[in-house]
Amino acid sequence: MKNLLKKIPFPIALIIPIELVMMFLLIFPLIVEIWVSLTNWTPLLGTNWWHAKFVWLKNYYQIIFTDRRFVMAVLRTILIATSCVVVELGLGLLYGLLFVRDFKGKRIFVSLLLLPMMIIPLVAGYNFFMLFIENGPINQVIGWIVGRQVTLHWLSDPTLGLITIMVADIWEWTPLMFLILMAGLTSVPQNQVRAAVSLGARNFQIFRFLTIPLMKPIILIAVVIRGMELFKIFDLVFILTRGGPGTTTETISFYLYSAGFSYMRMGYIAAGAFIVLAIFLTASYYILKPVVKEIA
Amino acid sequence: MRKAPYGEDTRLAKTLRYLAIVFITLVTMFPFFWMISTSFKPVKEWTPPKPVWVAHNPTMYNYLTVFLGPGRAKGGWWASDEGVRDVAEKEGAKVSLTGESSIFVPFMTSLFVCSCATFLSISIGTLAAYSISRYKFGGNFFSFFILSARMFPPIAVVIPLVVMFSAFRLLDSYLGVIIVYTGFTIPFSVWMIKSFLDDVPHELEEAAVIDGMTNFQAILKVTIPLAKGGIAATSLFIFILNWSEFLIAFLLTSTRVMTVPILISRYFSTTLGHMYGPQAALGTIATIPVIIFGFIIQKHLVRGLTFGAIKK
Repeated sequence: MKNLLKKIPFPIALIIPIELVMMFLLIFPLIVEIWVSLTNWTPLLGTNWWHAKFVWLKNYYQIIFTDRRFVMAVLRTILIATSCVVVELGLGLLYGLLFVRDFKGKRIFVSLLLLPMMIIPLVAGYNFFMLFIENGPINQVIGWIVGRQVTLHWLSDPTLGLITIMVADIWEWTPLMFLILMAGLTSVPQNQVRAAVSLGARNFQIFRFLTIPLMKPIILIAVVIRGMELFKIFDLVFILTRGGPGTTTETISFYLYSAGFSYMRMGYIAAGAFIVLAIFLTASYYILKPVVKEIA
Repeated sequence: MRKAPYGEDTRLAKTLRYLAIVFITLVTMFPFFWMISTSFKPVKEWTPPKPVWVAHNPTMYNYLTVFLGPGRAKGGWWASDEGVRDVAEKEGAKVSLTGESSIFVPFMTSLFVCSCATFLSISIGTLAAYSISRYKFGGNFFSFFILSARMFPPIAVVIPLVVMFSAFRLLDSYLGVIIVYTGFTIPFSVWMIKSFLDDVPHELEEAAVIDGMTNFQAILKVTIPLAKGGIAATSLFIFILNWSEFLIAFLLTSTRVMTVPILISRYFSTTLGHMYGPQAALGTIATIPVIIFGFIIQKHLVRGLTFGAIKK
């Protein structure tokens, strides 16, 4: 045994534990998922999944072509992800620009601004639930601005519900964008800036033609990582709207959860999960390239 | 007005910037303020027609409820003198909040589960990170393979995991949650630690090997001590991730294993109506450890969340 172990090249020996974990948590579930997605298995039948009857591609056909709820959840997730990434990027850039120069108390302000991203997402959902209820402070503040009493039903309206979810996510994750972009803004080489200034460039021109191009890789990474996390959004939806009213604020994760665990049609839901997984894996291969290039 | 040369701001610009920064800080802090303020409000001030900003009659009762469990803290914020449990049973609630939902057990559970998972994730991650950092193992494909584990929604894997775990009898067990948490944080630990290991000169290990150490001893006795600051920061980072995780724990556990986020969700899903005060108190308590850890590793947060791509 010992001799056998010694024969394994050292770099590969180091990889074995991680391979085992990934095997158990990624490859194996994937196989189970594909298997189950081809059957009509439900735990309610009382049989084991490997005894279930094969229905082959029926689940896939149903979920793509006849399940409007699933398609809507996918589209809605894309909407949430893109709008949140855009707003977070904009705000992050704005914050970053405010913090480029040194000033008194900079470190304290940075620390305070970072607080939201450390909080438990569930608790963030909580906080926004308290803020956005009908007689909560948000409606009160809007009332002050408009000059009369307003009662917006933030959490029980399809559009406002989505906005609430987005606002909560933007609040929680703009700090990350801010941190990443600030790292980029402060790493612009000063002698290039000085060269541009001596050639007569204005502040805006320096920003547009020097800072932005130099920061491109960093912005790309920030967008990829945020976008990737946003596609998985679950906790905020779970707390704030529970996908409701009806199914109007469901995201992919929430749809899979609520359809899977309330109807227990595991075969059907496994098909949905596998479609999502396949889309994500193909997309991620292309999207993650800049990140992999940067870290490897 | 004189235009300031680049690198210098006019008085006006400075003041405006200061005001803007104070404004965004206040907006950012507002949800925290509201949570802490609500946690001291008595029941009548939770959702009055006109919101109460700072509790008129501050009470510690919400915290008492969280510490003792709603079932034991009798005669407080609810209208009648019955314990929550009696009311809940009358209302036919599925989730009964009893004495055992005091925060102590979930807190200890979370502490145990998160520590074990963090330890495993870091140990396995360090070995892999070493292999990638020093031998460029697997090239881009392996990098992609590990990163992809963080890419897709966990729910897409948790569904087959529920099926698998029920066969292995790992559902609702500490071991099950620990294994899954380990797997889901491994991409972070591998890439973050790799970015720290890259800073350790490999000549030192080579010297140690020439002096008669095995490769493995060289890692344990030379590399890890040199990178221990980075590894410690990574551990805290992974711990925060685990501490905040909700979905996996929610689907893989039911009654025996209850982590802090699960307790939070239980407080929320009670049929008694929303218990804003105790919820806020619980949120405040649950947030304190992560905020402390977050402050300690503030410098490394970006490095962690971008898988070591941005080192600042």
